[in-house]
Amino acid sequence: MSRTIVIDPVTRLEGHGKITLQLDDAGVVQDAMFHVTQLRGFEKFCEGRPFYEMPNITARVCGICPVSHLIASSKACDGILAVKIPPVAANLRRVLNLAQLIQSHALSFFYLSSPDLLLGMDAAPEERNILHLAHAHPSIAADGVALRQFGQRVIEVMAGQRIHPGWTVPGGVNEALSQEKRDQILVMIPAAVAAIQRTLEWFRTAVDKFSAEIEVFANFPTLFMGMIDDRGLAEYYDGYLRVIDSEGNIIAGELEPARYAEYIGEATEPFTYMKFPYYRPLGYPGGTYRVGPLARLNLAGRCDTPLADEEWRRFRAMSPRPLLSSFHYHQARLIEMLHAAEKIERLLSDKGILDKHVRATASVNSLEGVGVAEAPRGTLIHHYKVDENGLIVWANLVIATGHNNAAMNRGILQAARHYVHGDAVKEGMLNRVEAVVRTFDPCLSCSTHAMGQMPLTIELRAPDGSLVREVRRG
Amino acid sequence: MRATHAETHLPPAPAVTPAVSAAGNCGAPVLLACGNPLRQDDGVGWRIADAARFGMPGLRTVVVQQWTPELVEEIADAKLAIFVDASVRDEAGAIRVGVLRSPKAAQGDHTRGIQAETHQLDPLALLALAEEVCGHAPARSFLVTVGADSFHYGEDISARVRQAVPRAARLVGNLIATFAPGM
Repeated sequence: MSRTIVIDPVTRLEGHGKITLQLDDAGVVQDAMFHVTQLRGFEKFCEGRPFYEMPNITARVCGICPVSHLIASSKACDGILAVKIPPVAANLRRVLNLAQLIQSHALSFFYLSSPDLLLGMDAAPEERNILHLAHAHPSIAADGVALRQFGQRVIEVMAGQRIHPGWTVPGGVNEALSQEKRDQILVMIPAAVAAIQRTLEWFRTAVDKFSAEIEVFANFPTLFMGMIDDRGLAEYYDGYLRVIDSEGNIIAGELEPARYAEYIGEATEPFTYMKFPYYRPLGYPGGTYRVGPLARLNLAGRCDTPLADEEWRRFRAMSPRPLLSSFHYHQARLIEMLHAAEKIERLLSDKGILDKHVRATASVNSLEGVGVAEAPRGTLIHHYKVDENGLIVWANLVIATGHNNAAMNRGILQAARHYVHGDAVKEGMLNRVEAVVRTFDPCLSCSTHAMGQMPLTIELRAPDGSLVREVRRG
Repeated sequence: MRATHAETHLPPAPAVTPAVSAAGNCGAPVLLACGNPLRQDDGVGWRIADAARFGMPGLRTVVVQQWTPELVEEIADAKLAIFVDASVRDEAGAIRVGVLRSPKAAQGDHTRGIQAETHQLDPLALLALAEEVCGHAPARSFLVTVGADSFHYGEDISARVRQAVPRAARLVGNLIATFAPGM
C-alpha cells in the first residue's frame, strides 16, 4: 500500500512551506514535492501605482532581504527613467547590497543551519536554535550575532534603518554618504573579517565530517547561473549573466540581464505557488539550474578580493569541476561574506565615494524597465511596464529562491530516498530532509517572516487519504 | 542531553572572543518595545516607548517588531532593561509587571525550558543569549505588558489600551527611578 508523508511546515526557513513524500508499497520514496503555501500578490496589487513607489513597495516582499528588492526595483526604475545613474550612486548601492548579503548569509549560516552543523542533525528539535548553539559553542554564536549586526548596522548607517530602508531611489540614492558615516563603517570591517575567517577556518576542518550529507544533499548535475563582471569575476550589482553546465563549460557567457525572458522560461506545477524557472534553450526540466552562493562561486573566474580569492581557490580545489552538492552552499556563503566585507572596504576607501552628485533625475522616458541584481539567494529580477504617466500596468518579479525551485525539489527527493524507508519516521530523518532545503536558504516570505513555535507534523496516509501514522513535533 | 563536541565528532569551535559589540550605553537603562504598530493594539509597546521618552528625554529606547538575537548588544551593558509588549492573556488595558531573572541570576540551567525561535526570542531568551555571547546581562530586567483587545489591521489602538499607555509610561519611569536613579 502506498503512503504519503507530509512535513508541514518545514522549519527554519524564511516563510512557509511543506514537503510531501510519496512512498510505494515497499516503503520506498517514489516522489517528493516542496510546496510553497503562501501567495505573493505583489505583481497584481502594484498595478496602478506610480513607478517611483515600486522600490519601497516591493521591499515589503520580505523582511530579510528588503534591500535586494530595493536595489533590483530601483534599477528597473532607472530603466524607466532611461538614465545612467552617477557612478558614486552605483557604488553606494553596491555597498548596501553587499551589506545585505552579509546580514542575510549570517542569518542563514549561523541562526538557521549552524544548529544542525554544530549540535547535530539528530539533536532534539527544541535545542536546535541559536540559544542552545550559544550555550554549546559561544564563540561561533557570538561571531554569528556580530556578523548579522555588522551587516545590519552598515545598512542602518547608510540608509537610515536596518529593515525596509528607503534610501535607494529611482535615479540613484537620495543622500550622499558623509565622511563620518563612511568612517563609522570602515572601523567595523576588521572585526567582521576576523569573525568570518575564524568561522571559515573552523568550517574547513569540519566539512569532512559531513561526507554522508554532502553525498545526498542535492548532489546532482544541473546548470548554474549568476552574475559576472566584464572580466568574468563575481559581481552582485551590475554585469552579465553567465550559465555553465555541470562540467564547468560556459554555455552562455555574457547574457544581457534585461533580456532574461529570452533565455529564462517559467514553468508551473499544480502543487505549489512557486514557479519553476528554467534555462529556455534546454527546456523544462532539462534546463534546471541553480543560483546563489554555490552557483556564483562555481561560475566566476574568482572573487576579486585577496582573502576571498584565497578561500575561493581552496573551495574550488575540492573538485576539478563545479561543486555539485548543495551542502557546499554553506561554505560558499561564508566565502561570499568575506568577499563582501573586503569589497565594502575597497569601495568605501575610494575617495570618490563621498561625491555629492548621487542622483539623476528625469521623467518617464521608457515604458519598460528591467532591474537585475544578485540577492543573497541568487539572481533577482524586477520587470515593470508603465503607461505614459508612469503608472504600473504590468510587473513581474523573478525571485532568487524561485530559480532554485526545481533543484530543491530534486534535492528533497534525493535525500528522502536515502534517509526515509518504510514506516519508521525518525526525527533525524525529518531534519535531514529539511536541512537539504536549508542549504538553499530559500526565502518564501511575503511581508512577514514571523515564526512562532512552529509545529512539524509528518503524516503517513493511505491512498484513500486515511491517516496511517502521525509524528508531531512542537 | 545537549550535544557536545565529542558527540557530534566535530573539531572544537574557536575560543570565545568578544565578537559582539555592545551599543556603548555605559550601563544606562534601556527600554525595548516590541510589536507591530500596523496591527492595532499590538503596537502599544511603541506608544509606551514614545510616552516614556517624552517624560524622560535621555531614555534610550529600542522599538522593533520582534526581539531578535542582535539586540543582545542593546541590553548586555545596561544596568536595567525594561521590555514592553502587548499581552493576549490579560484583560484589555490591564498592566502587568514581571521580574525577569536571567538564567545565571536564577542559577539554573542556562537554556532549559527557554524557547528560542528562528528570528525571534522572548525576553528571557534574549537575556540568556546576552549572557552566553557577551558574558553578562542587565542586573535587573522587567517585562511590562498591557492587555490587548484587537490585533486587526490598523494603526489605531482600542480605547482601553490607549488609556493604559500613560499609566504604563509612568510605571516605566518609576522602575527607572527606583533601579537606575539619576538617569
